[in-house]
Amino acid sequence: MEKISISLKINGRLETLEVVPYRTLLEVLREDLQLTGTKCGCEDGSCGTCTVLLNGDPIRSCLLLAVEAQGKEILTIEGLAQGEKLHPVQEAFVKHGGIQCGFCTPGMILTAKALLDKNPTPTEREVRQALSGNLCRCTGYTKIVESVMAASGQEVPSSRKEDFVSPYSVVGRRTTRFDSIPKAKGEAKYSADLYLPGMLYAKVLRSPYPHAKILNIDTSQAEKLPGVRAVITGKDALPYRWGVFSYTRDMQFLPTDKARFIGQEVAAVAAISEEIAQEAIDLIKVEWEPLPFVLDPEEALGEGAPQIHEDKPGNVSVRIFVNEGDVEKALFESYFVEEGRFSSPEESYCQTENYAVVANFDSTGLDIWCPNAGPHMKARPLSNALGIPTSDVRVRKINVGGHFGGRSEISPGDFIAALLSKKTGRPVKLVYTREENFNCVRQVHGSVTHCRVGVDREGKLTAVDMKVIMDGGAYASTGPIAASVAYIMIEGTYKFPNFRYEAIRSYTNKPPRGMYPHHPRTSYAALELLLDSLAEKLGMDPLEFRIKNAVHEGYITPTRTVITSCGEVETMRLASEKAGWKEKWGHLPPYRGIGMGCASMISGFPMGIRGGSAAFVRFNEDGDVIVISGVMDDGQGNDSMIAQIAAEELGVPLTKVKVITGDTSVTPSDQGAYSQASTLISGGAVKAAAADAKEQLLEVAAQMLETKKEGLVARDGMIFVKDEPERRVEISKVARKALAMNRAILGRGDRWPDADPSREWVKNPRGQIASAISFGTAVAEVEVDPETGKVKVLNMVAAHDCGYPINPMAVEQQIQRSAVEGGPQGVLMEKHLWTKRGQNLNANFIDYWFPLSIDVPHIEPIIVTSQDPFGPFGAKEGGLSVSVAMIGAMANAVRNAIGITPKELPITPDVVLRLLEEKRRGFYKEV
Amino acid sequence: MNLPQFEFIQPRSVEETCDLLKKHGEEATLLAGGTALIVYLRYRLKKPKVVIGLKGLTGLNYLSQQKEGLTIGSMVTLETLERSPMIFHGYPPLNSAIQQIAVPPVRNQATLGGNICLENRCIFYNQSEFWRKTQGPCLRLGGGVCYAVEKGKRCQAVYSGDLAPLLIALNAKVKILSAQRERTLPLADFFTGRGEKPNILNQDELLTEIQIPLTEPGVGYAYEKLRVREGMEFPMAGVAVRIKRGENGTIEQIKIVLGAVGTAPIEVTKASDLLVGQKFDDKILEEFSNQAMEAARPVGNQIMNSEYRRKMVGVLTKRALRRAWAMTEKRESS
Ligand SMILES: Cc1cc2nc3c(=O)[nH]c(=O)nc-3n(C[C@H](O)[C@H](O)[C@H](O)COP(=O)(O)OP(=O)(O)OC[C@H]3O[C@@H](n4cnc5c(N)ncnc54)[C@H](O)[C@@H]3O)c2cc1C
Ligand code: FES
Ligand code: FES
Repeated sequence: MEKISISLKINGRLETLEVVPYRTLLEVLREDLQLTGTKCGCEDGSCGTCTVLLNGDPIRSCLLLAVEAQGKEILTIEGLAQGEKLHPVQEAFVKHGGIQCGFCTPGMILTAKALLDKNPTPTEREVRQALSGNLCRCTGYTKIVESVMAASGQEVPSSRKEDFVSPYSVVGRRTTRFDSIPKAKGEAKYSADLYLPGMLYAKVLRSPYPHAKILNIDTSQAEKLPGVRAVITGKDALPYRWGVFSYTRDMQFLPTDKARFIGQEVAAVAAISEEIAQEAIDLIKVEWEPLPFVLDPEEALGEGAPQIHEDKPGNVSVRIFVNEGDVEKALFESYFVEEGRFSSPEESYCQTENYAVVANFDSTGLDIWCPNAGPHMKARPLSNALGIPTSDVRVRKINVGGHFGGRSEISPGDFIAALLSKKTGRPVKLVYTREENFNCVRQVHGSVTHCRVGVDREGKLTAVDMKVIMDGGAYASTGPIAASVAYIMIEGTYKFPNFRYEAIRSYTNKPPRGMYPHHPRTSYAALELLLDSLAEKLGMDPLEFRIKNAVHEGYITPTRTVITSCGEVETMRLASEKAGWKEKWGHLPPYRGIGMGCASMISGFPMGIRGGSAAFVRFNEDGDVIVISGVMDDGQGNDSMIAQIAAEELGVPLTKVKVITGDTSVTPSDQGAYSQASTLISGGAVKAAAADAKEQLLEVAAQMLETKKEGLVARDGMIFVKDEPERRVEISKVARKALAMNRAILGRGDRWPDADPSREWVKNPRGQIASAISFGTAVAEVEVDPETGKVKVLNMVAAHDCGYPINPMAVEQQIQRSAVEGGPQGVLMEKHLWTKRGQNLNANFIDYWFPLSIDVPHIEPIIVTSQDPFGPFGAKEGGLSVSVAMIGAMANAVRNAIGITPKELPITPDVVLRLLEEKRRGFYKEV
Repeated sequence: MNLPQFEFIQPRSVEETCDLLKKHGEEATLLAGGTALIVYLRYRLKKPKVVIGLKGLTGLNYLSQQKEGLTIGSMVTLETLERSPMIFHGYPPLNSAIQQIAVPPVRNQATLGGNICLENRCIFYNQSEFWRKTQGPCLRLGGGVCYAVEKGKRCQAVYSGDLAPLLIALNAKVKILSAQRERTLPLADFFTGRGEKPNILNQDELLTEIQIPLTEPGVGYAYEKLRVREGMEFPMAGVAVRIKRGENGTIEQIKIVLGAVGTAPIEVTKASDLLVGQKFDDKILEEFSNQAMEAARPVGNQIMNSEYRRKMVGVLTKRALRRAWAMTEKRESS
């Protein structure tokens, strides 16, 4: 096709380009001009990550042909700052915490800039309206909106907030995350932003059947297509099966026997362009033998259901069973018992970044860049699958556009790109479409929970009996953990003298489901809704009822976890106070409701030899500190977190600390950003390494100051004699002096979860589960439109006991995002629908109801401290309990507004309306 | 996912556009704002050889108030309309309807002509090429099966444009041009009711202008849209009404047009027959609302279930009527 010459003024520079007419402006910016600050999150106009300003107005560059931009003035994120000097909007996003993973950031900042150019002092609603086309999964939007308000010179809550009172110099202080400046400027690179010399492009052939035998794959036509460099199928792979546990190895990255869900990878191509790769995919002929399939988890467990894995009879992927005390007897003797069956379909992670991988295999091994939550957790299976030593797999550091559990595991795509690169000897890039990111990475379990809860006459809980069926999709993934989290969270939240829980995770012919903060959502909703029913029967205020049954420090859970620090009751008190609980509960007008939910969250569970983290601390000649840790930053701010810890421990200013993280070629092993262990374990390892380095510094300093090391203190970049601060020396000089003495200051440290190593998810669910438990309480207030059933969220407050906040701003970010995840996402909006054939009907952002900035209110975060004895500086985990707590809060708020207990999630308007109609027809008694 | 290959031509004038349309016939497709078309192309729902880009037609980018009413060129963007004081002050409900379309940046690109000429939508059709292949061709793609309606024999994809219902209620007209002729017809006659080919445009024709007559004194109108979120979504149902207040508070004229619950905007015909001369009260609202629900034809081709959508047509009808009626009151007193 003939190219057309165009000239555009991009960021003030005139660019003349030759383009084919069917290229979008987005493609030209990213691929031809390498302006990769403009992101690509959907390509159908629904995410806003590709926003640029065209003659000053924000537009979707994925929906504009480059040729149509001829003669136009275009501003991309790269053109906003004047060199070092950030634009005021960028500055405000950096300062007010409007940036987490950063993938939505360029689009957000440009949209905000355009708004402020037209409307210099917008109201909060106007800001939310203007940003409603830019999706963000990481922030819950609150800090983004505040950033824009602040940029317009208006006062915002976070600037009013008193700094957290901290006895430390660096830790406990509201700190600008240092990943935020490159993200605000569009410099931060994500996997899809990488372009290596000679790079090939990959595409994947996917199963069109939910369940079918692969009889033959003929790749000969595809191989002959000019431009194709390699075609692979399962035959090119070693006979390797991936499983998170030794007993769950059920997945071939390229299956040779059969495909088990629509979208499963069966072959792949690397070619000189994406178009050719796709063309080649269409030339691959697969002979299929379609097999009977099953989509419903309960049917899958029933008699005569199609067998999905030959060695897993009855399609039971995992069964978890705990039974402590005598539940039947306790329920029989209870004063009141409430029960119900609750169901929900699956959710999706919706990271704004689509999964992408770049692999480069040469004679020294593999370099690979991909979104991940723990590079070491990818390196091991990759080395096994490729048959090379782990040391030859270098999973490199790269920015990640959101995780939420969905980047926990190795992805077949990682392996496919690596194998294609091995076969071709060239770098290979594979970028998923939004549809693939919905279906072919991981999803969140659908579930059914049957729950019974009893209380005695005084309002003390007597027993809980919970039976959960989880739709696991086609593979085990993290099944044993996923099927356990509900009971672990629940037994740590309230005191249940008798406790029974059974979860069966069933296989179905749908995409496999992985880890998520609040799955199965039905379990938390079930418990919290039934608690409110019980409180009502007892005539108790739900707040008092919860306080009465809350756990405390020293409490031992039914499966034998000791709670070592606990601010649960304080979260209940503070969240309810802030939300006006006392004034509102029982006093709201019809169709207004307020609800509360509580949760505990584990940090750092046993993961065997991979459960620990190690770190090094070294010094440069100029005294700058380099921290080396395997921790991964997926947007939650882990890089800044370890820098703060190191700075505090060493007594140097934060600006002196740089980090090298998440790269298996340099950083020591780390458990990864799962199990909420990054601060606790990785941060703990960094603290230990810094302490080790400090000891070495003090030795040198003692010589320099001619004193004993024991009497020295390091703070604010100085080492001084304890009660004689004028006897001091700069730490940078000490580090240099050490070099002059021919010794290098090199700290090392490691940290391991303080959990019972004999505890096992399936075989032995007893013993200390985690090093620390955090707690949270959420309160939501809603208004229901009784005619349409639409639920409007009026207020959300969430308090979280994080132990101690290393960076209060980062903890607030986590609290706020978790609140949206639990409430609007988990309870009100998100679900997938399927065709009878097992196709996902809404694998896009137009039909999948991802909440927009305009759909959620300001979220009030409350930080509670409890000084955990194990955590570094007393810190535990940064806000995830709220994702679970908000499930209960939002469900109870709706219940309170409509006077009926909803039994299915999400409680979309049609569901609310149906409940109201049933109530009118007398199916429900008034509550 | 790349776009399919096509040749691109950007004509400078309406005449040139008509000539190109004539020349390329079935092989050509018009590209206005592209906010819908680019997605069709990406999903291979359209595979034109030639794409004719209309953004260079400055001659179709106008908005003017005449004594007969508003005339709007088809290439005016939704954002321009939204910001136009003429519409904000003269047609406030139209302004509010526009604000409910998509999200703000999309409105910077989307045009009024494109909005009216939107292809019909169906969740079994508006999917990627891979997705559709796993199912086999539906009626619209030349297959024998409708996946949305069991044993369905005609395509029931939903007309999902937000503005047409309100514009029909306002008795808007559209001007259509081809190399041979120009015709002007009521927007109500523009739609075919065929899921696969929603409007009457011939292959060589172009929509150039939308004419909205002045609303007489005593007229009020409104548009209500059903969606789960406050943005991003095509309507799950939409109800537009226009009502004229007669002597001593009776209804003199009424028009109710439904969107997104059928293959075309649906005019609730019974409404206009019944009620002239009646008082505007709750009873009559109930009556209209029932008629609207009866006229609606939602089927199971959206994420939201059709039973709920039908019910909401009733609720939205009442709401729209109340708002429109309030507007007649305001107008009278002013
Ligand atoms: C995220 C998102 C959300 C959306 N939400 C909504 C919504 O809520 N409500 C809604 O109504 N729409 C919605 N849309 C669809 C679309 O953006 C609008 O309908 C828009 O007005 C279409 O105008 P356009 O100029 O972009 O049309 P285009 O995409 O350029 O064209 C649309 C169709 O009309 C034809 N066409 C365009 N102009 C003419 C003409 N002058 N004569 C003849 N044929 C013509 C084209 O060939 C094409 O088939 C949404 C789109 C996106 C991406
Ligand atoms: S990539 Fe353009 S809107 Fe998502
Ligand atoms: S920061 Fe917005 S999507 Fe991650």
